[in-house]
Amino acid sequence: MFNKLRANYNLSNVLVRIAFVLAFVFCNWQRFLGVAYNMSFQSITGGTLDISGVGVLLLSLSSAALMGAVLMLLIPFLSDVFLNLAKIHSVPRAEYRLLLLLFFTIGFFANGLLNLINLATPLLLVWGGVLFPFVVSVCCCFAFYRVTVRLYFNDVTVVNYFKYYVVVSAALIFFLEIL
Amino acid sequence: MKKAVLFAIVISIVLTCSITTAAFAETSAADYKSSQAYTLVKEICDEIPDRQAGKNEQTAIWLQNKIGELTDGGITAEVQRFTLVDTFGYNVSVLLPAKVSCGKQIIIGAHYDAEGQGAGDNAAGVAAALMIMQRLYKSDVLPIDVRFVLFDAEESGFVGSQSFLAAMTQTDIDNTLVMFNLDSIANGDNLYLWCENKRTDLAELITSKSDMLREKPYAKGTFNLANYYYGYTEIPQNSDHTPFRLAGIPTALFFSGTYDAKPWNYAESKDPNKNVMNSAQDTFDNLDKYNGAQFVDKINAVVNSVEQTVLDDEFVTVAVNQRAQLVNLKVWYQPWWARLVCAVVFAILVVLAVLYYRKLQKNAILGTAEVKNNSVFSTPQAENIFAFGDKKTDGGNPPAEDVFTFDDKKK
Repeated sequence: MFNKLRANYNLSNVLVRIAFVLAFVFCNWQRFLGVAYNMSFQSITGGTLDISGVGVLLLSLSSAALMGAVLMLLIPFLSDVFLNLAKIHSVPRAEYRLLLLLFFTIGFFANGLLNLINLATPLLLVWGGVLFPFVVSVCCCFAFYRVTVRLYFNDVTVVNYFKYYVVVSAALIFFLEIL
Repeated sequence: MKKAVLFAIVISIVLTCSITTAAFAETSAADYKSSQAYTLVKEICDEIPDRQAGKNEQTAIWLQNKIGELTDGGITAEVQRFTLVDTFGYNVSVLLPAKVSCGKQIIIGAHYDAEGQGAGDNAAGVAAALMIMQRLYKSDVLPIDVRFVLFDAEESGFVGSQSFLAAMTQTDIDNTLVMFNLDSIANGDNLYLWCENKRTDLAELITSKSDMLREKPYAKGTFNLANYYYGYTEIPQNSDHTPFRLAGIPTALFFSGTYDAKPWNYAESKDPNKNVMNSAQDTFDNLDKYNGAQFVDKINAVVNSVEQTVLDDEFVTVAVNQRAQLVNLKVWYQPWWARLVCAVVFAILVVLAVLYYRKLQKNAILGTAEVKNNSVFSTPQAENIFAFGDKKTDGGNPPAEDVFTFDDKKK
C-alpha cells in the first residue's frame, strides 16, 4: 500500500489533502462549535442569524472544513515563500509541500485526539487547550525537520536550512500557540 | 384505654402521612392556577408585558409597588438607576435585615427585563424572588441580612448586575457570602443548581432541600474559548451571577433545562414548544399550555429550597466556608498560566536550538558535502507506464505470420 502511494504522487497528493481537511475539522470542532453556539445565542437576541439545534453543529463543521480548505491552499504557498527566502533550491518542492501537509495532518489528528480529553473536565479544557497544541506543534516541527534533513540536506546545506527553519517555526509556535 | 391509645396512634400515623404528602406533593392540575406562583407570573406578564431593557422606568415603579403590596407596605424598595448606552436601566432592590445581624449579607437576584413577554425568562424567576422575599420578611429567625435585587438589562450583557456590583464597596463585597440567581427556572425539562463545577457543601445543602432540584453536570456544555468569562464558556455563565462570581463572591444559579436534548450542548427542553428562551414564543400562554402545573412546581421548588436553605441553622457556617471551596479561577481557569508554562519551555527550546546550531556549524566544516537527492516518491518503472510489444497481449489477434505471407517463406 505504502509503496503504491510512493509510486503515485498524484494519488498521494489528493489523499493527503483530503486527510488534512478532515484532521483540521477533527482538531478544531470544539472551538468552532463554541463560537457557533455563541453566535446562535447572540443571534436569538440580536436577530441577525436564525441558527439553532442541528444548524449550530452543521454551521460549525462546515466553517471548520472551509477554514481547513483555505489553510490547505495557503500552506504550500507559504512553504514556497519560505524556501525562496532561505534560498534553498535543491529541494523537490512538490514533495516538500506534500510532506509539510502530511505533518500538519498528523499534528491536527494528534491534537484532535488530545482535545477529546478536554471534554472530561473544564479544568483540562483550559490547560489542555493551551498545552496540547503547543506540545503537538513542537513535536511535529521536530519530526518534520528530522525527515527533511535526512532526505534533502547534507552537513553543509543543513546549517542554512536549520537557521531559517528554526526562526520560522519558532515564530509560528510563539504567535499561534503561546500568545 | 387501649382503644383510645390505638385510636391516637392511627390518627397520628394518618396525620403524619398527610403532612408529609402535603409537603412533597406536586401541585395538582386542578389547583395550580390558584397558586401564588401562577398568579404572580401571570400578573407580571399581563401588567408589564414589555420589559425590554432601556424602557423599564414604569416597570421598576410597578415592581416597587408590588414589593410594598406583598409586604403590606412594610418595605419600600429602592431603585438604582444606571446608564445603559444612550438611555437608563433600573435595578429594584430591598434589604431584609437579620433579626440579629452578623454583619454579613446574601444577595438573592433575578432579572426582570425580557425579550418579548419573557414568561419563562424571567417572569418566573422574578415571581420566585418575590415569594422568597415575602416569606423571609415574615420569618422571625432570619439569621443574616438578605438583599433582594431585581436586575434590569441582563439580556444586554448583564449590565444591571454589573452596575449593582460596581456600586458596592469592597467591604460590601467581602461581607456578601452568597449570591443566589434565579434565571429561567420554569420552562426547561429539569431544574438545576449550579454553584461550582465541583462538589461543594453549599450545593449539597441547597439540593438537600428539594427532590426536584439537582446539580448541573460538572463538565457538560463547556467550550474552550480563551479569556471568555471563566476561561471557558458555557451557557449558564450568561447570567447575572457571573459578575459576582468573577468578583470572588460564591454564587448559586437556579435554572431549568436539559443536557440530554443535544449531545453537544445545553438546551431548555427536548420539546421544541418549550425551547423558547429569548424568543417571541416565551409567553405566559405557552408556558401554561406546555408546562401546566409543572412550572408552578419548579417555582415552588426553588422558593422552598432557597427559603429553607437561608433559614437552616448551618447555612451561615456553610456560606462562610464556601469561599474556601471556590475553584481558583485565577490559576486553573485562566489560560495565561498555562501559556506561561509553554513560554518557559519555549525559551529552553530556543536556547537548545542555538547550541545545536553551533554544533551544526562545526559539523559543516568537518563534515562532507555529499550530494543528497533522496526522494520520498520513487520514480516509476517504465513497465508501469508503458506497455511494450513483447509483453503486451493483442487481444487474441492472430500473429502477423498468419495474416501476411513473407518472401522468405514463399520460397
